[in-house]
Amino acid sequence: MSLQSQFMKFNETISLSWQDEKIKSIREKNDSILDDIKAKFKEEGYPVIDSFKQGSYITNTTIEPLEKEYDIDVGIVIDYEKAPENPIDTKKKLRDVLLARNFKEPKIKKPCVTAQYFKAGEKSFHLDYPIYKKDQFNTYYLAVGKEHSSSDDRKWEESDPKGLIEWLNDNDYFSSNEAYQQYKRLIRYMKRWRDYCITGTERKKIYSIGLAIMIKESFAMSISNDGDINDVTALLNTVKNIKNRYFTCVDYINNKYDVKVNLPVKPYRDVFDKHGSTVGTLFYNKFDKLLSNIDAVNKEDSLIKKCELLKKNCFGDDFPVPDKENNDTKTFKEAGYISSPQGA
Amino acid sequence: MSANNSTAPPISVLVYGSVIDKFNIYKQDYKQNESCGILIGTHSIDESKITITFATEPDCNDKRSRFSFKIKSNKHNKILQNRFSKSGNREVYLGTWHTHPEDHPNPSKCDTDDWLKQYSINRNLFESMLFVIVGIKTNKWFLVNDNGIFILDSNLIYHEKEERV
Repeated sequence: MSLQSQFMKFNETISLSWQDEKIKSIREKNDSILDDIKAKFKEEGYPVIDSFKQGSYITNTTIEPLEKEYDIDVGIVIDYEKAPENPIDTKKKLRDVLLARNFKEPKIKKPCVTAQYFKAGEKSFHLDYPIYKKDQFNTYYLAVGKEHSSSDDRKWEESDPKGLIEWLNDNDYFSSNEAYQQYKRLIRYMKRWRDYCITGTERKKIYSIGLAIMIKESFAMSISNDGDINDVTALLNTVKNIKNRYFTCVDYINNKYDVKVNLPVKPYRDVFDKHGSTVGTLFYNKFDKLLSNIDAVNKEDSLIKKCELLKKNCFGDDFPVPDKENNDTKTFKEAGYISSPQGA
Repeated sequence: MSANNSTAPPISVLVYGSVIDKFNIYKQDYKQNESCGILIGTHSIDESKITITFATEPDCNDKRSRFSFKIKSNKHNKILQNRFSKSGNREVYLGTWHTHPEDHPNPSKCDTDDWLKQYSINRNLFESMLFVIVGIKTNKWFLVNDNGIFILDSNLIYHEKEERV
């Protein structure tokens, strides 16, 4: 038993896949809502030509939510030629579908239509539907704008949702598959750290996509030549890199920081746009705290104490603490003799 | 000696996902040579569980052909000694793995003779050793102890879940 094996167990506990039995009912509801959207859009003369899951399900970085609210993010694609000029029309129709299905207060937000599902005794979840039109060159344009946005604020904005997924899932960017897996684990750890250490409205400003982009661009692999995987070191060095890379001090007296993380694909906008210095300062201080907490873990000799610190200060109850110090594995006088094994 | 038909001792084996990934890289589904390496990992105190944390990969100093292999490189031992000391004397030599160019592999006499030899040299240290043959479609696991060679029920082999690409 090692600290790494505790991290591996933690990773397994928090990971959630789209195929998971736990969210079967949500998957089924999602399918049936999608059918209604297709019917409605067809009626309106702009049939749905494609729909795809966005977000963490497709990048395999979904984690079990702490407050048991599951997120689903599905892109709806219509044909460029058939799309109405005003993108808000499509968003209103989609909201009508959600209203007809008794969702309480579905909302038209700037990048998507969103709704919350609550029902006693059932899993609650949160739905996000961005709508795109796609032209003959496979270029996507996102329906941007709120219900009463002026004509300047509403538009079909060129965007690359599939390019973003490919960028996040680009295995070739990493030196090995082990490194790629480590990067994905760091995203899951950091999302749980956020959910545990940052609460309320502040938590909602720390977008997962922002975390994922920062982690990929700043990733510091920790796998030795012998293949020894060390997630705690990778986490420490990656967070150090992030702190050096995305923050600018905007107020030296009050220690205020701005953060800027650009999308790696079109429209290349800053993910934290409009929140810059509130989110930046919050982030900066939380990252500092995380780094000092990991330092404290590294200074500790006992495995139990290391795990207790990680549980209490960084990740919460899902981080496993062993009952005994390494006592369940045997120690040996020697590693064993490899006597020219052979076979046929 | 062929595999013992009596029931294998109740030992469960936990295999790290990265180990399985290596097996998949080397499986002989095309005209590759046989591949081989050693298994490294831990024994639980009550001997109910063996955990395979690492598998070494073939080295250019190993002898390999389509139908046979011999581990000659000292790289395997270097890795073993390194992991042994880093783990506080917990990670040890567990046995070997090698590939067969058949869907559902069976050991040759040469294989089983060698396993018994590996065990007899190490039996003062370990109560049992593990050997696996990586086939094209399935892998077959064997445990060797003082009572002989046992086929391990695949239900007792647990893979540590890691994301697959």
